[in-house]
Amino acid sequence: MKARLTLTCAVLALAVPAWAQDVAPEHADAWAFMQEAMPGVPYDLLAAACKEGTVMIYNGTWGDAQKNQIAAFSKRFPCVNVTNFELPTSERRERFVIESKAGRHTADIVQDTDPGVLDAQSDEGLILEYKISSDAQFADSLKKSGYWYPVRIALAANAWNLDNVTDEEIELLSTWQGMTDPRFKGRVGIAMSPSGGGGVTLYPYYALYKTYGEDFMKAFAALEPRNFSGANTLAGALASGDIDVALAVSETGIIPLQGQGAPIEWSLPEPGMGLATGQGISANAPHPNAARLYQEYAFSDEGYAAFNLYGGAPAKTGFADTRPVAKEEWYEYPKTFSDVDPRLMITEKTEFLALNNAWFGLK
Amino acid sequence: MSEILVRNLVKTFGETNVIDDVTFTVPRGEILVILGASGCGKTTTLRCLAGLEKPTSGEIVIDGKPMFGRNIDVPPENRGLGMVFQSYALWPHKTVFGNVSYGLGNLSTEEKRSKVRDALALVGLSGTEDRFPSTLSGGQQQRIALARSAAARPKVMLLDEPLSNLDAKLRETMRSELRTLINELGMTAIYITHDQSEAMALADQVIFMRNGKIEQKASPREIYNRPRTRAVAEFIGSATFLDGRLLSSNGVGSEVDLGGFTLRSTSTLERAAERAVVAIRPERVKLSQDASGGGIIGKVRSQVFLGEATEYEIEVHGIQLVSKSRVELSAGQPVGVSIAPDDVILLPA
Amino acid sequence: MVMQTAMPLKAEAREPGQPRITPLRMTTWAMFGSTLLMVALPMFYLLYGSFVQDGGEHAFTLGNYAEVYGGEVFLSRFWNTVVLSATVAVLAILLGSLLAWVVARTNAPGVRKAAPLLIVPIMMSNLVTCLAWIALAAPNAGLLNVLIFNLTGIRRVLDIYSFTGMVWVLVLNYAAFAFVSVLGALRSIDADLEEASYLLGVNPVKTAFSMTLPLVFPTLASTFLLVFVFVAENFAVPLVLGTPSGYETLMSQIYYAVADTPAKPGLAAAAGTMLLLIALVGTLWQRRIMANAKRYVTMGGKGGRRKTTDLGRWRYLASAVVFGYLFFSVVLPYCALVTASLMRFVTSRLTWELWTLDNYRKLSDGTFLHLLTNSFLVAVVGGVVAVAFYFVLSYLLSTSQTRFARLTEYAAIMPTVTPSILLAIGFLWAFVALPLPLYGTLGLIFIALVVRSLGLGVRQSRSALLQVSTDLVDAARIGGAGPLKAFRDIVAPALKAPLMSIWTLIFVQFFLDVGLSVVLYSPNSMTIPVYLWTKMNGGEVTGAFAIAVLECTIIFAVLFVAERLFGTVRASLNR
Repeated sequence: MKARLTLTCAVLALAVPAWAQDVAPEHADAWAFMQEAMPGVPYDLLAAACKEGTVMIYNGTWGDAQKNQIAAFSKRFPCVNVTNFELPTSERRERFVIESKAGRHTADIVQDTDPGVLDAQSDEGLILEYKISSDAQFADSLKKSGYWYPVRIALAANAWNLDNVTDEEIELLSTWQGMTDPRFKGRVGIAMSPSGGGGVTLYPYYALYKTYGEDFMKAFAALEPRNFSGANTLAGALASGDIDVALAVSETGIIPLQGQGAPIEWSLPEPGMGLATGQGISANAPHPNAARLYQEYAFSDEGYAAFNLYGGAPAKTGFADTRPVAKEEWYEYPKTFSDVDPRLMITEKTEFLALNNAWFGLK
Repeated sequence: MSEILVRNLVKTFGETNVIDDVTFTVPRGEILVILGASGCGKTTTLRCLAGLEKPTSGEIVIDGKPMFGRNIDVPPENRGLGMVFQSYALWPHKTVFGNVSYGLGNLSTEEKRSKVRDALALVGLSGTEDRFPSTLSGGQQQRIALARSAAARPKVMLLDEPLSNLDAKLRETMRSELRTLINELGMTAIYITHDQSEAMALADQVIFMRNGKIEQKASPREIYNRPRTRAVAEFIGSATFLDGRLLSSNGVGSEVDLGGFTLRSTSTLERAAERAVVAIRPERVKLSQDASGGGIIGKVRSQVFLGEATEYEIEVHGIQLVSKSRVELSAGQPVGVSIAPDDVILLPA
Repeated sequence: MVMQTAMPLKAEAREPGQPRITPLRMTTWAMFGSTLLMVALPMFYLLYGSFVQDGGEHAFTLGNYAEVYGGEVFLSRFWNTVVLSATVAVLAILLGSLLAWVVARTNAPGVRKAAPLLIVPIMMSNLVTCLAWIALAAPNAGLLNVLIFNLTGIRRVLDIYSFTGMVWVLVLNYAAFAFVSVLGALRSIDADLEEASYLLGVNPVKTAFSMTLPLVFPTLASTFLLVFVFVAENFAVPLVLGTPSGYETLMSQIYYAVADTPAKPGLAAAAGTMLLLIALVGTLWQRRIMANAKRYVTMGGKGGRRKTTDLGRWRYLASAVVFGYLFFSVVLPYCALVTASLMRFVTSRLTWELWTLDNYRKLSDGTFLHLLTNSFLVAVVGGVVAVAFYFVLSYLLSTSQTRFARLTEYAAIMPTVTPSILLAIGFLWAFVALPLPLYGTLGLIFIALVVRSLGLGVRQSRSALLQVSTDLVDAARIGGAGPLKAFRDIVAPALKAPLMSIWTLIFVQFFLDVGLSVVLYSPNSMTIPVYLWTKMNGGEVTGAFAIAVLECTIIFAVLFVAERLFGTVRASLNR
């Protein structure tokens, strides 16, 4: 009910000229910014958000990016105090769902690395229906319009340790087809759970299979990759040179080490394969207006940039990547993206896992 | 008037009756010794009296107050008893004063001091108030344990093999001191032991327990002279046991055929029977060098010199008898054997 | 209301002059009741969850159990778990016993002084030691492998990503645990027994096997069981080292089931019953051994005289074993940890740019102080409260022979053998629904930790209580003290030393906990290990190492202070 009411307000606000608004002096700066950065969002939202005064974000373990965005938000909207709760993916998910179902509503804004999960939560009524003003700047495959939007995209990469590969090999790794070259045999690491795990780790395999077929996967498995329990341990092994190459691994796992100076580079072969990390508002947010305000800010150019600087690849159309890595000569953002639907993966998960485990000899 | 009354006491652990329908009384000022082999239920009986163990059924009355019975179970701290443990159970982290004064309740420090002083004087350990138990010898610890249990002057004192951890000499000294102490303080005591000489020396009455039952209750003298069962006779003192056929038995006495010779006894069996066991204490078998008398004639098989007497093994008509005697004999020598009818103990077969 | 008025009346009728509601009874009921409730709540939710279809609309199903017990996957994981746990438990006990024997019974030089250090491995989180060992012995880039390559030219000598690697890390960790318990048992055996054997012409080795071994056997059995369960529930090591070597255990499978999309907590809970079964069989086995052990009267704990065996020239080898163990279990991983925490990322290719203080600098804001406060509250203060709780509980359990007491006793074992990640989910489910102001607080983490260590705490308290002869308590009762007063005056003071040693154990367990806290914490109740865990998840491995270094340092500092003030570590070794 409330959601619809606010939506109506938003529609009404569009009709009313901005100058006609009575603006409290302490909100003048914030309101001026809003009119520019999130056109069409009504003044009432700001007033209500300030009245609520606080907002709680359940974010993933990308604290630096989140904190940077929060700092930027707090500068624009000092009347809203933002707290964030950093949780590993599965714990975060479990907490949010259980709290929602038990009526113990704590989170205002939630994030998840798996679009499938967010879609399901939207359908179950756990995510508030709210269409952000910058909705049009996000591709349909990377959002569920009116529910959640992508804070980043976790693209699959072929990464290598600079000290351990030749230029020729780097060339090979810049395409999906090249990575199955036998010369990588015994030098490769992957991160995959036999039971599937989160979509982020599984999707690249699924997309590769759908795009290149079974023979490709068998050639991939023939490299006898060492399987790590997570992207982070895999990245660590790559950075230390224990493995030479990491294949089809999420870029988000390797960026922190590269940022620390580890001799790692990677390619994001065409077509780009990856899942969006989405962010939505809890249907039962204790501070629904502050949550809307934050959601608007997070997907405004300024807010997005604040996150992107320390976060993953941007998923906003026409947005200039602010990450230091984007300025690197070797770094090339894919021009095309895979059309393999991640939503389809959920329905085919069991069959695909059985195949995948057989190829890679996972028990 | 009896100070302690125990009626139909039963204690069951699992399926076994550790105490099986035990009934006895202890008159005021007397010492009752419960004697028996380990596992006979004597300690459990004592612990039931103390309230440390909950009987399955029965009744316990101490000093006229019901302590246990139907719907009554007074906890140990409210039974007003004194108890001495086999292990002494002195609290290692408390001084002698702390140990002895613990049970004195809400007295002023001054009163406590004087009571502790009295109690320590009683056991001959004045001035040890500030020492810790671990710095005392075993005998001293035992005395402190005694002083602790006596400090509050309880009417009833329970002693659970208090002397068994002491060496033989000390045990004898402590035994008589204990007796004097209990009598002086006018306490009623129950004393548990498996040492028959301790029982003889201390008891006004002795209870012999076996398999959770009272096998005999009597004065020390009577239980020695007139054991009612073979187990009692075996446990208290030593004896030669002989199987025999009961020739006659009436109000005055009995006559038993032991196969080769017969003995007369002044005791009788409670129930009529054809067969009986005869128990004869070694020191009651009189020997004489004169083997020509009309009595029984035997032959010395072996001898062991004990100091105050010599232990002989005598063969009489193919039957082995043990005798303790001052008569000097040599192996193989014929010997005259006589046993007074009073000393022939008749037991059920 | 009816009950309240009816009860005293009934009491008067039944026990004249005896109040039915005594302080003891109230305490007993309160303790047993709260214990049962705290155990039953999460367990009930877990059990319920295991019969509900994951992700579905609360439909009843036996599918979870069918998948766990009917499929090949979980059964193979089950055997993997049994093999790994048994191997580690046996080796840890062998090593621990050897260490204990050298320390307690030989003239090996220097080992007595080093003895307190031997418990240090217990204080290191095995996730952290695991990562330290990856830095040291990763097949291609591990520091040790690089060193060996430079010296000998042979590559890939060590491979931590293997069954052997897992066993290595776990044995180093748990041998210290075995050491502490065996040392206690060895010290309680009167040397007369061994001397009697020597006099009969039996040599020391044979004596050790024929005389000493049977006497410490009950201790070995209970230690075996405990280490077995610890390993079976460990998910960090199988996850980090086992997955790369293709050796999955039940716990790593449970972890994956929880982390899966959609999450399968019901399946995980059903799989948890397999661990319960292992623990159940183990407990029954141990009970039988304990029943047989009663005839070993010499285990009175008096300790008598101790004879040391003169090892002759071998004594240097014996010292080398002890110091070697310390080197590999503490010095080497700790050095690796400290070194790595000063790096931007872990590598054996050293350059000047690699070194940084950033990992520590990041911790210098107020956040870490907040975490430290929380960890202190939970582990130091909470540890004291928990130990007090365990003691009172096991004391009441030992004095009460009611069916209620039996039930409580069995219930206490359950949470200890339930994997912490599952127990935490049980707590989460239970307390998110309950209208209590506990959800998301440090209080709930504390309760969960207390429940989690119930089995361990009660068991340890029980064996400590056994050391206090019942005569001592009985003497106090006869002296006019009620059970509670007797506990306060006699039991508690006599138990100071064992209390201290249990506190040490509980403190470390509470302080290092990740499994429960990571599920139950909130921004306000975050602790140091949870922070470490999120850092690790966020890919900041060397940042996590810096936290681990501080974590270790804090534990050492706390135990050092406690040792100085109360003699806690000595208490742990001299029991």
